[in-house]
Amino acid sequence: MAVDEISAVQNERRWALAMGGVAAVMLAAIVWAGLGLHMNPPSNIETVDPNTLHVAGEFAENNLGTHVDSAGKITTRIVTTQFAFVPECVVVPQDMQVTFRLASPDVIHGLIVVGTNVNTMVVPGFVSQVHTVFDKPGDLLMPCHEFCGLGHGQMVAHVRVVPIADFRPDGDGRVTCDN
Amino acid sequence: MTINNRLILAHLWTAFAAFGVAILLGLWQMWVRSPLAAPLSTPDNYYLSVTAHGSAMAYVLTTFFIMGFGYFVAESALKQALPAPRLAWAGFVLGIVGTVLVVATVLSGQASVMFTFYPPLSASPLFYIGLVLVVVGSWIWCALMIVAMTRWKKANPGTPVPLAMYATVANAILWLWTTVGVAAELLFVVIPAAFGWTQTVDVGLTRTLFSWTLHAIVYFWLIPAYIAFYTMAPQAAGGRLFSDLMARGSFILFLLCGLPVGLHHLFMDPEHSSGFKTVQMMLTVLVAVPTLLTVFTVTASMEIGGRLRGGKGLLGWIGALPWERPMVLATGLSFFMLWFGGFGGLINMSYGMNAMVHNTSWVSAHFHMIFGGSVVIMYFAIAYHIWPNLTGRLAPSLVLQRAQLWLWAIGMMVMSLPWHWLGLSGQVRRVAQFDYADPSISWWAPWMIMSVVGGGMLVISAGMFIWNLVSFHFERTGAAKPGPVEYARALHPGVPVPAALNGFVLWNAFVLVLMAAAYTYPIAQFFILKPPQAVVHRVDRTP
Amino acid sequence: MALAVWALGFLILPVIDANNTGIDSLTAICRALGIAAPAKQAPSTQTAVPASMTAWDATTLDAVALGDPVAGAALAQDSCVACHDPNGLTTDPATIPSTTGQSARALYKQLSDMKRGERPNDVMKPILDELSQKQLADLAAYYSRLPRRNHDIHAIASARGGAIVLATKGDVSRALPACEACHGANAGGPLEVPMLTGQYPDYIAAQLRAYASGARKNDIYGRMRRIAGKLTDQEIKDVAAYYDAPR
Repeated sequence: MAVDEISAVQNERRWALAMGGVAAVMLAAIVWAGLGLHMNPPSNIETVDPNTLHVAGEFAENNLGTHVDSAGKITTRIVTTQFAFVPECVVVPQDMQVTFRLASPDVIHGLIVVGTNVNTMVVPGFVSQVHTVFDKPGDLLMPCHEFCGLGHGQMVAHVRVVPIADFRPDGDGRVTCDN
Repeated sequence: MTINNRLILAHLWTAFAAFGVAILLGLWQMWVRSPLAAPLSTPDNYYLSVTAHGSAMAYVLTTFFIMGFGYFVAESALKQALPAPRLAWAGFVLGIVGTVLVVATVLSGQASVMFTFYPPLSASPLFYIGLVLVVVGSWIWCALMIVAMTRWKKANPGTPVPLAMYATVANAILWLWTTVGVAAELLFVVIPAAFGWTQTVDVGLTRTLFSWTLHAIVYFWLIPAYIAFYTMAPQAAGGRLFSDLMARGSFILFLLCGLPVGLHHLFMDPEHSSGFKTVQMMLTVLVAVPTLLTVFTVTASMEIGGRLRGGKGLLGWIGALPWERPMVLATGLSFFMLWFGGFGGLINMSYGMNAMVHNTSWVSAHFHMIFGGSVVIMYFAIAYHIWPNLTGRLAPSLVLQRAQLWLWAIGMMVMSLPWHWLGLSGQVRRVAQFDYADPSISWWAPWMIMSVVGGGMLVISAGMFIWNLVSFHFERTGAAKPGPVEYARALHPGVPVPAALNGFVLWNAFVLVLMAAAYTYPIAQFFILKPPQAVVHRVDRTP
Repeated sequence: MALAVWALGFLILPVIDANNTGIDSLTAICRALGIAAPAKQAPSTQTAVPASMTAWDATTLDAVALGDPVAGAALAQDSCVACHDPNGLTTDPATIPSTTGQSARALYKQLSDMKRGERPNDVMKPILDELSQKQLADLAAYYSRLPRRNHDIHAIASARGGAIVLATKGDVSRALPACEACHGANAGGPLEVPMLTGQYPDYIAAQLRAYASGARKNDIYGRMRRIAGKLTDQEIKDVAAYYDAPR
């Protein structure tokens, strides 16, 4: 036998240490991403009643879409419902911090803005919030990515990223795909 | 030799029958998603099919296979009769009744909620009760595995429990811990809502309880493959198990690290705090350790076999391995797919990268590669390895067995490699229709057709597998009789095994502490915050 | 080791990240721990103008579930049967819907919305003004238990292929879900969806046109306005005919 017992145990130890090292490197990468790149899980623990979502408050139908407040903060509010995003198209400016706020009045949904790291679940009972900056203009696909019923596959919307010069809020601070 | 062969065969054939049906559904699903026109393609049929495919593969194939294989190991490794075989049959019957309920409700279109349920969608209560019965049947198996090991230890004081059995009991204990989450979800929230006793459900709570189960269940499926890696593959390769202690350590690490990490499935959820997500993300990193230890020990064990057969040089031992033996071939193919699946897993585990792929085809690719590829190919190899013993007949054709394994591995790569880049380009899961006329996604079309081809290869391979097993039963018994299944001996047998590595009391205490730290507040918060509940949406009848 | 992990997860990462997202450290730590931080930012929004005040909270669900069909039958005899016959027949299929065998939740929502004026209807409003919410639930319970109207057995021949695709598969290129994804039996869609099988095709077509033009807008979150606005008039006719077919 080529391997004696002592060297076998030594090999084992070395490998176990090496694997511990690999795990430590991965941990370090995650911490670095959290500290340096601000890549942390989305968690604002904010509750909202799904059954009265449409009756009052920020997720009522006429409050949805992109809005710029008096301080210049840009918030895009979207309701995900069976089987549509409301509104179906939202406008955001390029190279500016945008906050997405999302809620569901019925079942679980989710969304990904294709080609970006905007990706969140939308769970009835909670507000999902994502901060991001879009760096290229264009129409981006935003499909529902969690099974929400038989119309899940047709639940698709768009994010329209426009250069800042073309991002013109109206008197109420609203911007829509129609204007 | 095993005594309760009929019991073992009943379990394994149930598993493979479910597998045979589910894989046909899988091929049809690929066809529907592709640009080729598929028959019967409506959302109703598609989601019915996805639910059936997922439930059959994830619950029926795995649970029945693991139970049957566990009974086999308990008799063949311990060389003693199974305690209370009547109870084992009772567990089997419970599982069959449960499976029939699941099949009936899914096929009648009353349970198209996927195998992950997604409350507040609500299926027929019989669907959930069926799943509970399957789980209760498997709990009987867990108890019998623990009793078998305890009896053996009493009768053989001072002798370490054979590794294959030690690992099987590790899996039984892991499964008992794992099922607590889903059982609580079903019994306290989902089933009362399905019966109409409650009109609303706390969605965050149900997702959290399911996450408790969702990661560890994967290790429940995986451990039989690892048992084969450690105890069957080195034997088949003519080698020795490099280190018995390291093997035990790996199985214990699966038990410890597989459980307190479920929140990583909820990275993108709004109902959990960033702190607990971060803590569980860090624990998730540790899950890679037992797999990496296994890669080392099993490779070293195979190397011994290769060198004993005259292999020379740094890599010469690889060529000297007896690749004509299905167990050796399957282990090689499984390791190959493990690299891809494991790499995908590392991406999913890291929050920042996960944001690019969460709920896209990337995730489907990851679990098809690691479960359908690495694990199920070992289920095939295990079946080929123990079937001679169960039927008392020699294999009719090793050539067909090898061809089947190759076809499976190639088919799995052809089918699921494209899903990786389609997922990165934003192809989401569980969608039956894509607008291939949209210029931004029209390039997906050839890759989707490639996946259909891969799916076709998998179906052919599955058919060959069933044929290979059936032909055992029709083989005439000749003069040559198969010998009993032998498990790999350790390179240095007789190394004393510490008591901690020969039992589970200490490790159960550790799991309790870890689970308390990882899950107490994430579950308790729903009773503190009392988030608004969502109204049940029934898919089984009009309210 | 464990202490370091906890400190990282609950203190260091959240506080440093807080600077990036513009929230204070205390809120960040609360979020990391999973404690709802005191809400400071008032939603900068206009006054809500809901499409319908009907909300499916537990009270409303219970009210509909506890509707009394016997009381509903007596009420219907007094106020409804002149137009809404217990066999599902009506005097004007273009404007008056068949109501028998309809979902109780759908009936309750439409009656409530017409009573409040969210769905304008000059004939129904004065009648509904005399009724309580409890009586609306009774009426819904009564009509939902009656058998659906008999279908026109010749209609299936007139249902065209395009309508069958729209009704059963939808059209992803226009983000149109299948009609059946909500209106099919056991679809698991929005709680208030009406069943369409057995409804008059003229009535279905008229409502789709009203949604498309905005004349009717009591659908929560514009679910139907969005869909109807994308259909051609031929598609509206075809889909309406599809639902007249027996199934």
